[in-house]
Amino acid sequence: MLGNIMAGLGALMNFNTLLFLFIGTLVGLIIGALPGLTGNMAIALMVPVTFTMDPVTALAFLTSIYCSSIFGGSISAILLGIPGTISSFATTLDGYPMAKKGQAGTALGVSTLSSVFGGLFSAVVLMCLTVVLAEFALTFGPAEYFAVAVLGLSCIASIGGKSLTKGLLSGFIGLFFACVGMDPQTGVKRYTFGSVNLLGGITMVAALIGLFGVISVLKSAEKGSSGKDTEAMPEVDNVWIGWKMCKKLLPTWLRGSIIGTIVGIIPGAGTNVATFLAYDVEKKISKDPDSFGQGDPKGVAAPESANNGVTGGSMVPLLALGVPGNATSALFLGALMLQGLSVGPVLFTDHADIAYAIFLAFFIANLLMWPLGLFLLRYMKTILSVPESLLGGIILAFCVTGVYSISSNPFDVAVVIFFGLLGYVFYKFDIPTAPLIVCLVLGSMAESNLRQALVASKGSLNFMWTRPITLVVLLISVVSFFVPIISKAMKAARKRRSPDVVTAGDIAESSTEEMDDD
Amino acid sequence: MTVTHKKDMGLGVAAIAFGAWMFAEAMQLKSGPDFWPKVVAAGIILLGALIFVMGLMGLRKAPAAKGPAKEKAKPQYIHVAAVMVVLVAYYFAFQTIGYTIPTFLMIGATAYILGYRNWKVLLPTSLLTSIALYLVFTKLFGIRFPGAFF
Repeated sequence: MLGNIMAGLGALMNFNTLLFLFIGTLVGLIIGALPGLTGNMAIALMVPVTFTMDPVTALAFLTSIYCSSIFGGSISAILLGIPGTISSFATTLDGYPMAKKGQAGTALGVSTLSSVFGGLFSAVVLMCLTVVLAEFALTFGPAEYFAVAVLGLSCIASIGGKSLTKGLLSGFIGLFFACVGMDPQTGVKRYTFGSVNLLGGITMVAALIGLFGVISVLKSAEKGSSGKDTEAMPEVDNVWIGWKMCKKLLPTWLRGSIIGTIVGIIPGAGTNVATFLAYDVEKKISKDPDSFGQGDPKGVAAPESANNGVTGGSMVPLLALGVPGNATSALFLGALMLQGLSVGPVLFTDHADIAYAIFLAFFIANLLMWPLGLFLLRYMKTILSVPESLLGGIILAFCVTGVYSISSNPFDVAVVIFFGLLGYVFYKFDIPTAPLIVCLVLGSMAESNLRQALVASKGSLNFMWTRPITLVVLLISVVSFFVPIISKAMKAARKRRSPDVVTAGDIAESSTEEMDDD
Repeated sequence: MTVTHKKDMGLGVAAIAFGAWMFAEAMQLKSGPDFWPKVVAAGIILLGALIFVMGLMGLRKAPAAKGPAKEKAKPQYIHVAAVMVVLVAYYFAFQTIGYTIPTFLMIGATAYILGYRNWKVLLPTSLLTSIALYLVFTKLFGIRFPGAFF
């Protein structure tokens, strides 16, 4: 392991990669902070840019955007009371009251250090757990991989928003798009409409850019912004919180980081679940629970350490098994595929240096976030005053230019436009897009492994219960699918009994409805 | 509330129609590649039917609206349509005219549609962004854009 760490470090330690880690942290911070622009959108826009980079630089760049955009979301949550990303929703509850009390600098300082702590904690877990899980996955055959794909698909019950049927419909439409192109085993054309451009299937990155980039501009257009959306912001005083406060917040950071990392590993659980869970736990064990919601620093520290804890955790199933558990890891999968890399155990056997470089990039990105975040906070007032209406055209230009640059094929631009429109239709019908993305990514993995398993078992489905790992993973998938459904039904029943009681979970759910993805 | 239920019923019908088309297309494929699309199409039809029935049940249960409805900002669909028109026009323009001019026009037009009116900022921002993107992608990443002009 030490040899691999040194190899990863060697791959990272060059001027070009470190420069892009710095730029990525900066880009993520700014985009995450701007309300309406999400970290996923930033990653989607930057994936095509990474096409010309070497794999380590490309993945380090995206890692730094991911980590810092999650932190960036807390800046507008504290200064404007508007979360920049969904993961910062819980931060608003105490961060904004702190800012209104004249403690904006302290709130931002707490948020910075909490994010750094959560990010570093999850990076350690990512490195230790992924390697163990990937080694275990070396024994997997098509039957096991089919079960793993089903496990990934089962998360659509929890990422499907308030309506399970609509979430499932979104997932099945994603599976349809995964069918488009030549059948991977026989080469038969499916749903190509006679177009040669569709023979290779839907370009995943183009679809993701449409679903994250174009949709944000269309939503902005629908609101009919006036172009004068600058709001009065509180003054930012000293952002250094002092060692005494750090010592006081350490247990909160630990609890938040553990919750965030565990939730991140579970496919489909999402950052908002982690943040509200951490907030709820902190409030319940606090000696002064009434101070929560009034501007308690622990109310900022808990969700901020949890949401950055999710970053490393969410990469565990992707890197070890090749299963993206959320939209962000699906974007990373797109970037890895663009670089010609496979995920799962093969990444560790064939490209261990790249795998370890990704782990180390998580460490460095989080460490960079500390000084850069504290420095940039002074200029955030200026950055946050850029109107959303001016940014719309620039986002579209990035979308189309970036996607064209991948394969110099104008058809990919048409795919971006199509998926942007589809995402908008989904939005109007309250259909979540996250299940579509996960199923688009996992569809072909599930199909090809199922067919290979069926061939190996001579057409019998008995591989599902005769192979122990397959059976266990399929049982976990069943649990993963039904637990959120049962939990939602129980919550609805509780709400019917006492309609006036509002829990943190309710707020988390309503925030998910408002903002589909990070 | 009834609007939502009616929308759901429409969505259900659309899903059933889409699933049926997908299934019909899968029927024309040979055995093997047809298996997965048929499973997916059946799922879409089933979910479409479920959404339709749930919408219908909700419509029947929904109480008649009492008093004036809540004031809600009206969605500006015309702006959404205008952005889509700009994008489609850009798709054709950048293949024939070139990259920089259509990109400059797209950035400016989109910001205008979204409500930005400060021309002193808008024009230089659109111009500088389009030129900067052109230079970065052509000189740094070695991308060649289609079209007659740069």
